[in-house]
Amino acid sequence: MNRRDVFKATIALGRAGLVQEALVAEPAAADVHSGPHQKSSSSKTLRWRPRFFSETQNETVTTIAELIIPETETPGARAAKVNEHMDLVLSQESPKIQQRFLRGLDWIDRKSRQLFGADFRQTSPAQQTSILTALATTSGVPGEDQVGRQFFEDIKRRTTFAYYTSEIGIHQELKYQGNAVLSEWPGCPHPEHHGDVGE
Amino acid sequence: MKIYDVLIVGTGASGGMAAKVLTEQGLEVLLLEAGPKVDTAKFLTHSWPYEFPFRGVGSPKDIKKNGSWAAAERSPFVGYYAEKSQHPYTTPADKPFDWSLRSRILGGRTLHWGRQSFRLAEFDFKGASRDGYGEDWPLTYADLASYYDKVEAYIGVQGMKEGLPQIPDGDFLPPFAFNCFEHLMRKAARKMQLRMTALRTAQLTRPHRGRPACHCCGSCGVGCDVGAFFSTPAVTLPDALATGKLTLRTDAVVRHAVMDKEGHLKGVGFYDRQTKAYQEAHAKVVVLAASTLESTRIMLNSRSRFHPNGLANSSGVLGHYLTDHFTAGSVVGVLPELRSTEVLNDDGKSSGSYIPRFRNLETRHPKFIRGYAIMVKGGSRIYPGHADLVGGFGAEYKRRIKRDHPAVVTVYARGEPLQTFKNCVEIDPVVVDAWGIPVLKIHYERTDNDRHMLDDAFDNLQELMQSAGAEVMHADKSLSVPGEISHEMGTTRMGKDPKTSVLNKFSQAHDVRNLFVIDAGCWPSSACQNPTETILAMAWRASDYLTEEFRLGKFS
Repeated sequence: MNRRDVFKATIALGRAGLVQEALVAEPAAADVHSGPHQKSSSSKTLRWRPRFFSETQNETVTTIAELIIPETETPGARAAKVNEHMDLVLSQESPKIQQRFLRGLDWIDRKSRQLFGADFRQTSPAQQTSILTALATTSGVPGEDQVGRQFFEDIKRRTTFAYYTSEIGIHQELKYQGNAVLSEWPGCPHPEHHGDVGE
Repeated sequence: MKIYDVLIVGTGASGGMAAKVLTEQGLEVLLLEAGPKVDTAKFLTHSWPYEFPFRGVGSPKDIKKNGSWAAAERSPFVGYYAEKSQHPYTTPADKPFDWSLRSRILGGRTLHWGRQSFRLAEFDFKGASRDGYGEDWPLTYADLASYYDKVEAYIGVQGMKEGLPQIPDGDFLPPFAFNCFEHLMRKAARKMQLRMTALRTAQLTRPHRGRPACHCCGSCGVGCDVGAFFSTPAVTLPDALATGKLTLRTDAVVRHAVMDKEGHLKGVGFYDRQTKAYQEAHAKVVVLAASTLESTRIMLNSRSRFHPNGLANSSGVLGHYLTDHFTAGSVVGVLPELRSTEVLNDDGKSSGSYIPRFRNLETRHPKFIRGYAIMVKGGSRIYPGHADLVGGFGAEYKRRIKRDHPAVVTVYARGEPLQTFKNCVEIDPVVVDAWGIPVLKIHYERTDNDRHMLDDAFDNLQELMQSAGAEVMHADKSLSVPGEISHEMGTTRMGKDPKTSVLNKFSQAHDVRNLFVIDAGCWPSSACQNPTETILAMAWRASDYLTEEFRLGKFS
């Protein structure tokens, strides 16, 4: 198979949620137990391939994730490769959960075509934001929009988890200070907080 | 086949303590553990979520097969948490019991327990005398006081003396200092005339008996690779092995007790965990310390013509009076003065603060008996759990998560459940585990007392947050799922009367004098304090008594 065939096969299987290792020509996609970024012995450049998403689904997911947690003074979801983690987790989910997620992605694209005449990833950031804003509000029209709202809550949770468990999220954005080795526990160094002491 | 003096089943808190005390007094002890050995040097402390494919959580497939605790990648040791696929249990469809937070490994739950170490109060042993419900313990605080002293001196407990009868003081190691949010919450508690103290935990704040002080890495949950908190492999097991009197046999899955032709208890039958080969072990005395429900399961699986209702069950109460502590409401909020403050190391001490029980001490509450304590946790954590409570998306969402990260505080109540005959375990008629051993069917329901306690606790949690000026993000007025807290107590109840109890005040079976059951199954009431320190003290005391009975020739 040449690379284009592999690409098409991956998309087809991605839709069914069953990307198989064997079809991915690049050596970079390692098994789930050793992490997705295994360097190949022939030292080709690392290249991540989705196990579950098609290439267009991956792009849509990445776009949504970056809108949920964007680059600000620190990198956002795209830089934190949140899509790669979501892809891994979804590849291991039950068929029911996989189908629900893909239905949600389809819903987003249909909504986008209905409102703006193009798939979600191909519309403008302002248009994309308006779609997500409608989903993020808790009140609203019941029925078909439920699919969209539930999908948004789901992808927001997945994005949040993947971002704040990444190096970028933990160290650059939150500047977490724990998981260290201390010789002594310092406690609160701020005298203005010690209103409870000495009574 | 060798006949040991004592055979102990289980290497958790009580089994490890019995092994140490008995071997140090010269007895030949066989210590059986269902699970594998664990190399504590291989614990994955100091690791980061992003070093694991599933960020430490485990794959969805594994979570589904073995439960979320067992699937966690940061603790990839067989039996660290019992795998659901190997160790099933059943419940009636309408009565959930979450028994997933248990272990089948050398050290049992001591490898990853919450480390909270409080004594029971004098009145906790006399609940029935005070309010008329249930049964008193057949021993008093005075009987156990010297054992509490010995346990604390041996294992090391950090904490503050408070002079409060509901949590008797011991001789503590210096306490971990309070974090910012703890100072602020303590002031808020004081406004309500409540005392907030450091959570007493079995963590070393200075070197103790050859063990190093805690270096505050915050990884207690995945096991301590330096032994700075109490666990069997770090503390009791090395001492027992050093005597030369201990034989340790891991991978030994005990099925039942075995009797001789006259119906005398002579040992246990077990399967090798890996080969599933069956064999027996014999001893003059059998000590069950497999954890409350597992010890009871062994006894119920030991039916014979001599013990038609299970081992040592002439009373009929074996398996009954099960309780688990419960969480009675929780509130998550943000302290405005800590918003956007510099992020400090808040979770390294893996501890928090504690408001001891303040209900039904001097005056009787009109709606419920017994009481609850309040836990206070918070500050910057490795994962910003409050993110799930922040609405919206985009730059503002990101900004609010970061702004509130150092300022989050969670308070929740931990209550004393009442023991009822109806809350019980039995042997499931159909389901067996991976070794073909019949499993437990667990029946557990909440009582009205639990529900009334929740009403009061929730009010006080909200008032505490108000008193602190906190902005509430989420208030949950619900009782935890039964079993979730993982403090199983009861089912081998102790008492003075053999007609209504299984064990006497030394955890010795009334019906079978060479059987002891030393985990928390013996507890006739539950208090609201975490049970482990009392389990350790009771196990030490039972072991001393057992040794004395040997000296008096009772078991030759």
